[in-house]
Amino acid sequence: MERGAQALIKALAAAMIFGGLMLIFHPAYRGAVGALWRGKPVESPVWDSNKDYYPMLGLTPETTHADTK
Amino acid sequence: MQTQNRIIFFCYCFIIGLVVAMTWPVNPSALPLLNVVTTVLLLAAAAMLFYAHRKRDEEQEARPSASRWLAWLLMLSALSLGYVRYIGANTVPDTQVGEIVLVGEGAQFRAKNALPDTCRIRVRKSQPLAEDLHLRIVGELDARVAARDADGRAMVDRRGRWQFQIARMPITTDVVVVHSADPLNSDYVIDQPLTRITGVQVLKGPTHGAVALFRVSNHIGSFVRPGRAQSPVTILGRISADPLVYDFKTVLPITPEFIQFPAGGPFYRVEGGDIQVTVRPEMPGYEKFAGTAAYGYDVELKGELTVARGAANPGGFNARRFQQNYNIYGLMSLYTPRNGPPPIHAIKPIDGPMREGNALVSFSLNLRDNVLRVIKQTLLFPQSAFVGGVTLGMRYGLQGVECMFSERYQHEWKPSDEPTIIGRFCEETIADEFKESGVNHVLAVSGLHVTIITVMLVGIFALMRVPRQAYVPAIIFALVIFSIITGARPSTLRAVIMNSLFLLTWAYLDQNLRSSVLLGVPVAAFLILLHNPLVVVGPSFTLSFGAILSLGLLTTPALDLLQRLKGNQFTLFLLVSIGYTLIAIRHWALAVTPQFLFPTVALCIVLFMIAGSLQRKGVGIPETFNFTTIPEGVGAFLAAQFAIQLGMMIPLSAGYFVRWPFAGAYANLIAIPLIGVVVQLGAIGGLLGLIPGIGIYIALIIGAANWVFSSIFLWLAHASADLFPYPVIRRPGLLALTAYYIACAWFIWNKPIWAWLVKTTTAFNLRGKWWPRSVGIVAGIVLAALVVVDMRPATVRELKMTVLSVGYGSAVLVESPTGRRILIDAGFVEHERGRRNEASRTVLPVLANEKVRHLDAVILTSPRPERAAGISHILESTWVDHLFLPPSLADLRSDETYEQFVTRFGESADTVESAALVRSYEELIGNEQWPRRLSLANEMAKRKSSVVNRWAGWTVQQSTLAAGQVLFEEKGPGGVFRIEVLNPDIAKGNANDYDNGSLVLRVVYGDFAALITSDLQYDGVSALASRYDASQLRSQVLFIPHHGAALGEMQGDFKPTLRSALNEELRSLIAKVNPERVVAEWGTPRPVLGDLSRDAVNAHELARQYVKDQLGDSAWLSTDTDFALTFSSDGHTYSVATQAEANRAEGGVDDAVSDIAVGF
Repeated sequence: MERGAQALIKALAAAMIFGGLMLIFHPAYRGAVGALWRGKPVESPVWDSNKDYYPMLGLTPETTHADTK
Repeated sequence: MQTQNRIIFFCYCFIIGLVVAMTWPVNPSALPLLNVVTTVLLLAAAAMLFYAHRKRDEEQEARPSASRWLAWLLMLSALSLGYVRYIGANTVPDTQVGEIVLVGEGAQFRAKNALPDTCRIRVRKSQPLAEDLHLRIVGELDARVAARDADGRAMVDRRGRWQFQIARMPITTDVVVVHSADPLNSDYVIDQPLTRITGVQVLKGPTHGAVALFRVSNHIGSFVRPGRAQSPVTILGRISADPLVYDFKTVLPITPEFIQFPAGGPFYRVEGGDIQVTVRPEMPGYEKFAGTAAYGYDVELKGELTVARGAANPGGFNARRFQQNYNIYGLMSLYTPRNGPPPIHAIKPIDGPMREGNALVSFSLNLRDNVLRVIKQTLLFPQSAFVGGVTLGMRYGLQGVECMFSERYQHEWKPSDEPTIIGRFCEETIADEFKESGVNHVLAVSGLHVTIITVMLVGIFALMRVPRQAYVPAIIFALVIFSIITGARPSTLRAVIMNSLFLLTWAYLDQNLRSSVLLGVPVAAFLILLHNPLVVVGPSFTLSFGAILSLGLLTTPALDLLQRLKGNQFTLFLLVSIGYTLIAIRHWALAVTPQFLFPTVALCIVLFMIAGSLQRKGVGIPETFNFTTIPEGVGAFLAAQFAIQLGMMIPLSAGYFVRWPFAGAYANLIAIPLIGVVVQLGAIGGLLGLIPGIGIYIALIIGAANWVFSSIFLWLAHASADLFPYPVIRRPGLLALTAYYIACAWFIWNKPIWAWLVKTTTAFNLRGKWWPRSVGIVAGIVLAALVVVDMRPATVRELKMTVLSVGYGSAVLVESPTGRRILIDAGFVEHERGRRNEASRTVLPVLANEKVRHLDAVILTSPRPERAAGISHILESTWVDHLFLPPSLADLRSDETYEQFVTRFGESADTVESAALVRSYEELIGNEQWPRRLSLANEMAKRKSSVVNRWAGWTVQQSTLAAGQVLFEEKGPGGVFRIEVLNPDIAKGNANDYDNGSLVLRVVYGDFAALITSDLQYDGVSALASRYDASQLRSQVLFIPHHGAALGEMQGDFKPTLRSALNEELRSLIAKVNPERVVAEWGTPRPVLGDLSRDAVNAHELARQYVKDQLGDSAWLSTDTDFALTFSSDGHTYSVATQAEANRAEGGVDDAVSDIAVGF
């Protein structure tokens, strides 16, 4: 099992590269990066797409998804 | 090793003891004695074990007799422990508190045990009595009155102690009459509570005899009442587990501590059992309860305490039993009154802050919420819902989530000029697609997920070069947290226990995986069943252990078998597998029909023999092309998948779900490796996202990558569900399952079994290879025969009519003594929020449970969706010889427009606006917005007479019926069986009326008849009554027309008109039919009728009262309260059995439930 650690590292590195490409080419993820960079995560298209998914769970424990609009 | 073997032996004996208790339970009153026996045996086994270990330490060998004694004691103690554990959890012994002995003119109360707390009393007739006994119990009550604050709320301190004032008062109960005619052990419950019994008053009674007094346990189950409109109770308790948050409600798991029963009465201390309380978003303060923060809150709530429903149909899901297996004995659904406070309050302690739950559990749940926040920020919906489900066990978030190809997910960044057709590519929910593609198991957190997490954590620690002896405890702790986060279901617990055992033996004893699996399986089963023996037959437990046992036992023999195929035979095997799969995809019915299967199997055997022969001559594909050509890991994986299908999926899927996800055999080849990636990325990204600052960016990158992998997984499920069939399988009985697993055991242990056969036949002087082979062949034939016999539908020697409980809808299964099986109507299909498909979830499972896969006919009596909507689902899954329709539905075409459809009923699309007509059109012809939905016209097109369909027996003849026709006129043992058609009368011109053109059927067998009036309105009823004389209509059973909710053109204040219709028109029919029973196929009409449902409910109520006034209360049978109704007739007399009675016979709410005796 311990030999799998090397495979895990490689897989994670591959995922990071692949994910990085997604951030560049996928419009919703581009928007998400921008929103986070501006310090306004509520404007992220990714966050917005989850408005009906566990709506009682907001960005902080004290808020709901609706509170953050 | 010896210790390990003893542990394994003990655990398996415990499980056997538990199974014995399920099969042959004793009376629970024997439990105290059995507990004593078990304790003695356990102590003796412990003593013998200690002796054996001492001898070993002293380097002496224990005497062989001591080892034998130890083995016997271990076995007997384990069997006994398993037995009493199950009996103690499943049933409840009464606690006798005393006896009333009748002596001459008076009576003596002889106390046995003091009442531990305020409770109710049960008087039991323990001896025969010469005359009725009238008595009262005298005692005292320490009535608890809840202390209240200025806002009127109950008060609790920071230790969780609810505050009460106690009012002591003398109590003399109402008179209890113990009837001399009642059988022995009859019980009479006294509702008045008592805290102490001081005496008894005998008002009248015999001079000799005795009755026993028992206390009714204050288990929450003894306070529930079935049905609605109960008196509300007040409960003081605690939210004892994570609230289940849906988008339209939250379900709170509550451990009640005190209950005020009835309203205004004293508070009882609750002695066991949990409840589930549903709250809704419109309730003020809802957000306080709809989240993890509510875990641990003390609460006061008021509402009706009821109980989950038992099975509504034969073989149906018993929700009550399922919940009780998880210690849930009551349900409350809270509604905010129009004028009044909210029904539930979180109570802050008088001397401290809001209480929280267990610290570890709170920490775990908060961690889960934080990880979910990261997932919501880093994964687009619906992939976020999928990752949340598989990584955190939050599968409730996937309820109702549509397939990712639904056009609802068109994002603004991808504009489309085409009109949106919501269901263009996808009709189903993700959860449905997972079920149909056989990858649903990824949503049940179990061994796969736990192993993925374990491997990931081992890898991380190994990278940091931490020695395994140091990190293994940390991983075990993390697994405990993971199991709490994901809900701690049996499948998760099994995996966590096994993985922990493996890690410990691997780290500290240097043992390998195989030996730890051998130990882990029985130990995990033992621990889980010791805690809750009732889960032993639950799907979470059996599927989880079935999977691990299949993997452990069947993989190696499967691999051996596959590796034997070489060259020609291996090639042939591949071609046959692919070919059969393609045929099954294209035409499942053909693939499983005997007239295709038998010749195909015979052909394959011949081809295999030819292939082998050619191989020996060196002709064909070289032997180097074989299973070992595949990389070893892949080969082992394929063999493991084969093992799981054989050992778990095929038999247990059929047993629990009456379906087999054929796609799973293929989809899981990709799904299982892929889920490893998704879960690891989900876990790593979720945890890294918690790092302040940079964490969320790293999580976003990982989430973006995971979005792709999740999308591939969702696409795989969608494509598999789309491509592969999801057939209904007859439910195997115990005999078939036993024979099947014996065959599996042969497959696993064929070598030792063969050796034993050779030895045994030799011992009987039967030498030569053919003798053991013959015995083996005979055994195989016997097993196959058992399966065939068990899987055949029962021979019915009487007429059996089962009226299924399908809510507001209709489905009646008629089984004639001449062997005919006919389905009348097919139930409703709801496509919107509830998505209740009564054909798939009720009718088809009942058919599967009855082992029926062929129907001689399906008769649709009306085009209304509550009768007709399910027909396409029935046709998709069942062999049907003939489909009979009312004349209004003659020659349906799939290209028919709505305007053409409504003209069938003499209507015009410009002038009529009827939701029912629109639904009828959609279900019978098709739906433009949901082009992939099944419809009758499309299904009939697939069943037309073609070569392949005829070979598979898959053709359906279609015709219409009208008054005067008779179906299936055949002679049975008790008389002639037939189905008479009484309506519509073509000559009268009502054949195309939407309701009054319904088929009215009279099912006759000998002297028995049942009249099914379908959807006639009352004017149609009147016309029917006037057309026939009494001898043509007389029936013992009458199905009330239109579910008892016929309103016709009545609007506004319709009650006077309806009463008049009942008094005149329905009365005229009842006068001629002269029924003994009136059947209402009833349920909440809202899914079908929408805004008209309130009027329908009122109309139904008037009809119900009218029938009861005319014929008596006992004449009325309704599928919403009595559930499925089964009428049986031998042609002379008849009987009726209801599913409600069957549920009560199994142990309904009338049984008092006491505390669990064993005390683990």
